[in-house]
This record gives sequence, structure tokens and C-alpha cells, in this order.
Amino acid sequence: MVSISFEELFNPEFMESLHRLRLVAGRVPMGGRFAEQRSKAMGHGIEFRDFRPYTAGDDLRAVDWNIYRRLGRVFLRLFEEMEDLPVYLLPDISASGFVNEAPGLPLRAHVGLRATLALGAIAFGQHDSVGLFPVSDKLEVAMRPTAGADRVMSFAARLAGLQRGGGTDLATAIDKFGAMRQREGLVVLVSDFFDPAGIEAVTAALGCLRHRLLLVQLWRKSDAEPDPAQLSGDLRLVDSETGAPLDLFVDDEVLGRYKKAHADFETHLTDFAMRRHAGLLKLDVADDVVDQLATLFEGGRYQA
Amino acid sequence: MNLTQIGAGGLFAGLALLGGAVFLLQRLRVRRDERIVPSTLFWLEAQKESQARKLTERFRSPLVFALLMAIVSLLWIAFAGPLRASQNHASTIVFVDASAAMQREAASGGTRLDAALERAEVLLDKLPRAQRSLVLVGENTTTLLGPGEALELLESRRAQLATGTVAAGPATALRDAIGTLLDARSASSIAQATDAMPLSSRAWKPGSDATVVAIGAPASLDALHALVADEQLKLETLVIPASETANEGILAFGAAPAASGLANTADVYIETTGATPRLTLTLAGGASQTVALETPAPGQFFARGLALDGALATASLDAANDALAADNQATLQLPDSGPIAVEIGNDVPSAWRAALETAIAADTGLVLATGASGADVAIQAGTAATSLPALRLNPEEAGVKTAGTLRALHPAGAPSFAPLFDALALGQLGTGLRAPGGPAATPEAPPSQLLLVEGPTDGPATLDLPAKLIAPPYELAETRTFPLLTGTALRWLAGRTSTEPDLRSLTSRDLLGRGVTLEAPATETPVALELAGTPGPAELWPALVLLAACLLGFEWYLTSTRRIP
Repeated sequence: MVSISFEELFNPEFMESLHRLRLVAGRVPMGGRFAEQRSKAMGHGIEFRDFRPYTAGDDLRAVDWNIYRRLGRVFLRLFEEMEDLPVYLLPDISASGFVNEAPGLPLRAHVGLRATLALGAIAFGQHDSVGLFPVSDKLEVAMRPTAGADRVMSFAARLAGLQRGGGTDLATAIDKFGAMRQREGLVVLVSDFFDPAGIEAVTAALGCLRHRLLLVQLWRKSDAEPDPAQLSGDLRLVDSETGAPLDLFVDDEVLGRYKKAHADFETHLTDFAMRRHAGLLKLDVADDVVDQLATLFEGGRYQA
Repeated sequence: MNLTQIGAGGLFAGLALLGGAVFLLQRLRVRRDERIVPSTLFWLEAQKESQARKLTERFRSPLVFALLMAIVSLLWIAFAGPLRASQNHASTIVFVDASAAMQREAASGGTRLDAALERAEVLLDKLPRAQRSLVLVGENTTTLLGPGEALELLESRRAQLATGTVAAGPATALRDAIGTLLDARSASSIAQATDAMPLSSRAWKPGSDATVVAIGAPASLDALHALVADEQLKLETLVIPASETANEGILAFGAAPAASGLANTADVYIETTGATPRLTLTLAGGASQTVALETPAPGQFFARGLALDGALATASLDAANDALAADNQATLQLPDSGPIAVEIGNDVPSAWRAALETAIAADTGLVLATGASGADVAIQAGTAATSLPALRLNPEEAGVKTAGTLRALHPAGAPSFAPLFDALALGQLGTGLRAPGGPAATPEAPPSQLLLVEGPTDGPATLDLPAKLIAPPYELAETRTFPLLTGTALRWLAGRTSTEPDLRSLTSRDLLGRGVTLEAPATETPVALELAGTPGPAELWPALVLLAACLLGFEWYLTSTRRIP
């Protein structure tokens, strides 16, 4: 079990604050269930979309007889098809998220789960289908895509029941997710992206997905700017995932090289998001989740 | 500030070494704080360019180095045993008598010197370190413990004493040593006494109070109280009693010219306590031999007619279990007085030659030389120049200015001729040979001045005799004194001024018996020491150690709060 209880995770006030937020997709692929997202398919909705000439076999009930009377030609009236958006939530449950980095500061994994719950609740609330695929050094299937506003509690229970993972191998997990050939939708990866294979391997795997991407990066200010008062001198840094010690003497010079490495990491992730037209939300674990999510939902809507 | 454990040179050398060691340790010191981090991803990249820890890299932390240097310096100085300087403080100087009498067995066992040193150690242990000193007074004065020195040093220095570096001295040595100290003090010239007692004089500064404790035999202590008239000096004496075990020893050991009259021989005299017959005398140097001894009276021994060939005479008394073993043996180095080789020239008249050869053969101190090279003295006719001291027969009487009959020339000049003149009664001869009209002997002009004695000279000594002495009416060679005249003259020419062997300069060695006073067992006296004056200088090492501990705590605080790396 992760060290967060259902009560901590499923806070009514927290859930209430999410009602004003909505996920909006441009055009969802055809084949989904009836929902609130516009589909690429023309359907029988109530919102007029376009006209097109009649062809043999078309439904005569869609013929616009007023145009035929005025122009003498037969046109069909087309309406929007509303379907659901598959939302695949991939929270990172590797050990790096469970390091107690500072007293009073929530764990990265807990913040990530709360963000995952928030996004899932939003999706459930607009009748989108939601799947839960925790990632660490492997991909787990915690909940297959399903829809229904009443599934939120079940979804939260699944989140609270997740087992703490080991190391981080995001590239392998993403590749495995891609191989599952899920219906095209929105993949939300909630992670610190600290993959020993490097951020390049992670972005390469993400680039192969045919889904839309929303990257939620769990970060702390000290990731980019370590406090010299806390990290200086002779240190033995123990990796939380591998337990491997790293002995080094941290001075200004080493700190400078660390900051440069971290800046390169950030730049690479940002550039990838821009190239891929993916959403990127930097979620500071020290601040409120909903407030930061709100920055992603401009006017209460996030265009996936 | 005084340093009592090590000198200033050692202190600074140690500080330099410690500084270097701390410097290197600062560069190499690793004390890692363990931190669990989400990922070492970026630290690994940062470490790729991190340089290894090397002595040649930049210095780690000057502040830490300064702190540690301060700590180790304080500890090192504390180890040196510093004392706060004081201008006026009382001193206690313990003198231990190391005279021959201290070699006797003490009532408590061991020698009295050992007992005295043990008592001194107990005494010194009760005194402040900076106010005490211990001086051993024997043949030489030795400072065993200087002011401020640790008492532990005394054991090793006593071990050196056991090897015999300090010889026993006479009973008056203790009095002389304290007298030297008093003289130096009264003259306010401590430097004058520095050579004799460098440390004790340093401990006793002019104008300060002092207590002198003398520990020794009663004979050495008796005369001390009369020495001390200084109000600032307090004298305490402590008698170390001897055991009641009887002692037998050699009291006297000397030599004298043999009573037989034979040249180059001596009689040896030995006197012992008691009438023990267990005395042996051996000669070593030539052929080792045991000499037969005469015992004319109880405790007296004679060895007659010993050849003066440079042998070492050793008298041994078989009394190993008595109270003083040191006086059971004594040695005497006999002089090496070989016979004088005489060369008689071929030009000497036969009548003289026969008489001279007879006289030389009769004298054990003379021998005819077989060749010119081995001769010590020559006898020749005429006044020709010679490279050897020569007895010359002068038939020409040429150049004689006074009586013209006897002419002597000696490197030492006229005074050296007087013993010969008196021994041979040459005055009468000179008077008889006086030339007609020459000066007569008067009280103002003794007969010796009738003869011509010249010198000093760089050449060999010569003695010219008129050749007419061999003819009537003199017929000197026929007289009974001719052998004596010949032997005495030849010895004088050879530089041996006396017809007897000179034994006055003989020195006996290891003759402890001469300094032994046969005394009744003394009663051990208690010593009550009362230090006068202000308290002595305080020891500073506790304060230094405490300060070092405070600095260590301060360094720990700075490190734990990350104010220093």
C-alpha cells in the first residue's frame, strides 16, 4: 500500500473544487460511447454542423427540403456526433516519489496521486472513460478504461490501493502501454521523470504514442536549486530507488554542474512537449494541487 | 613561562610537525553526511567532472585548519608542562652526599647512597615541581633533577648513576658544594655557579627564600650548619645511618724508595683495618705475579724491592661481606724507571774506563750501552760537542773561567745543580781545586759558586771534570765514593735529579678507604620542611587542556550547524 489513506485522498472539499474544471478534446476518434466530446464522426446530434450533397443511400430524413424547394437540389443536413474521450492516467509510483525530502512537505507520490484523482474525477464527471495504469519499472493495469460519474469513488479506492513500486523505467512502461493499442485518447503521465535511462529515453518512448499527451511533472524548487546549507561538503547520496551510494564533495563548482544538468533536463522535457504539442504542467509538490491544475484549465477548460 | 617537559626547540619543532600533519589531514579528511535523495541522476552527471581529492588541490577550509591548529597547539604546549613565571618563590634544593662513606651498607639495606636517594625522592614528591631540585655531590657535582622537571626523570638518571658515572668523593665535597652555592648567592652572581650546579643555581634566584636539605653521612653533615648564616636560607640535614655490620678495608696504599738502596726499586706499604691476613698484592702490566707480603704489625703489610717497571699494583682484601665493599680493593700505578744506558767513549783513558765500568756494573740503575744509538748518557774524553748528555774529562782546562776545574752546563741552569752539588760534597772538591789566587768560599759566596755552572741551554747537559783528578794526589778513581759520584753525576745528566725514585707523584686509584670514617651508626633524623615565601608558579596545562576542549566543542558546533564544512 502507498502510505496515503482513502480518506486523505478522497476529500469532499477537494472533489468539490474540481467541478468547475473540464477536459475538452478537439475531435475524439470515432467508435466511442455517447458522451460530451465532439467526435470526428457525423452523427445525429442536435447541434448543426454542415451540409453535403445527397448521395444514393443517404437517409432521406436528413434531406433539407427547404433548400431543395429554393434551389432544386438535394442536400443533407449534418449534425455533430458527441462521444467520450478516453483518458489514460499513468501515475508514477516508483520509490523516488516516496522520499521524505523535508519535514511537513507532502510526498511527491501523494501529490501525484491527488493530481491523478483530480484529472480522473474531471473525466468521470463529463462521462469520459478513464483508465488507470500505474508505472514504475513496469506497467500495471489498475483499472481498465471505464466511464461513469459513479466510478469516482471506486477509482479513488484503486489509487489508494496502489502498491509502492521499485525503480523507474518509464520508457519500458510507456512502450508496453503503446503496445496495448488502446483507443486513441489522452495519456496523462504524472511523474518526476527521474528515469536512470535519461529523459531522452522517456521522451523517445512518449513520441511513439499515438495518443494526445499531458505531462504532469512533479517537482520541487530544490530540484533545480539545491540548498547549499543542506547539500554541501562531503556527502553520501543514496539513491532512493537503487540504494546505490554516491560519495562526492559538494561545493559551488559541483552545485553548478548539478544545476546545469537539471536545466538541460528541464529544457529537453519542455522542448519535447512543445514539439509534440503536448500539455506540460509543472506541479510543485509544496503547493495546492487544485490551484495549480487550475492554471492548466484556462477558463475552466483544458483543450487536449 | 617555563617549559618543564621539553625544550623550546622541541616545542616549536613539535608544533611544526603537528601543523603539517593537521594540514594533510584536513586535505584528506572525509566525513560524509548521508542523504537519501529521490534520484542521483543529476549528481552523477555533476560528479563526472568532479576532481578527485588530492593533496595538490585547493585547501579545504582555512577556518577549520586554524581551529584544529589552535587545538593541537594548546595540547602540545600543555604536554610541554608550562609554568606561569614567578619573580619570587621559595626553592628547595636537596643535596645528597655521595662521599665514600655513602657506599657503606645502610641500616635499611642497600647502600646509604641508595637510601639517601630514596629519601630524597619521597621528599621531592611532596614539593611543587617548579620549586625543587636535587643535586648529587660526589667527586663531581651532578644535578639529578632540575626545577620543574618531572620526578619520573629521576629513575632513569639514577640508572645512569648505577653505571658508575658518578664517583665517590671526599667527605668535604658536600660542604664545598653548598659553600659554592652560598658564595654565588652572596655575590648575586649565579652565573659563577652555573658550571658547577647549573640547574640548582637557576632554581635559587637572588632575593628569594630557599631551603637546603642535605642528606648524607654524619661526617659530611657535621660542618654544614656553620656555613649557613643567610636568613633567607634554611638548612635541614638528614642523616642516613649505616648498618652495624663490621667493616674491613684498605686504609693506606703507598710506595717508597726501596730500603735496600737498590735503584729503580720501591717498597710498597699497605695498611688495613683490623689484623686480617687475607690481603693479596698482585702486579700486572709486566708479568702478572702475586707478591709476598711481610706483616710487621697487625694491619700493616710490606712488599719490598718491587721493580719500578710501570706495573699496576692491586691490593685485594678478602672481606666481601662486610659493610663497605668499595674499600676492599685498591690499586697503585708504579712508575716505569728503567736503567740508564751509558756509553763510554774509546778515547777515555784505560784507568778511567776500568773504574767507570766497575762503578756502572755495581749500580743497578746503570747499564753499559751496547751501541751508540741506545745510549742515554755518554762519557768521553775532551770537550768535543756531543748530542748526548755527557760526562767529559777535560785535560786542557781550556775556557775555564773560575777555578777551572769543574764546569757544568744543564738545560735547567744553575739551580738544578744544587742537589747534585750537595749530594756529592763537591764544595770541598771545588775548594781543593780552586786555582791559586782565585775566589775563596765565603758565607756570601758558597762553594758551589766556585764552580762554573752555566745554563739554561738548548743543548744537552754536560759535566766537565778535570783530568788531573785521576792522577796523584787526587786519584779520584781509587776513592770509595767514586761509584757514588759516577752514578749521581750520570743520573743528573740523564735528567733524574734524585738518586732515589720519585714516588711523590704516585696516585692511588679507587682508594675509597681514605675517605671512610669509621663511625658509630647514626640515628635517622626526621625532616620537617616548611616552604617559605609565596606559593610557587602555577602549572598551566589544566587551563590549556580546558581551553582546547572548549575550542573542540566550538568546532563541533560550527560543523554541526554547517557554518564550516
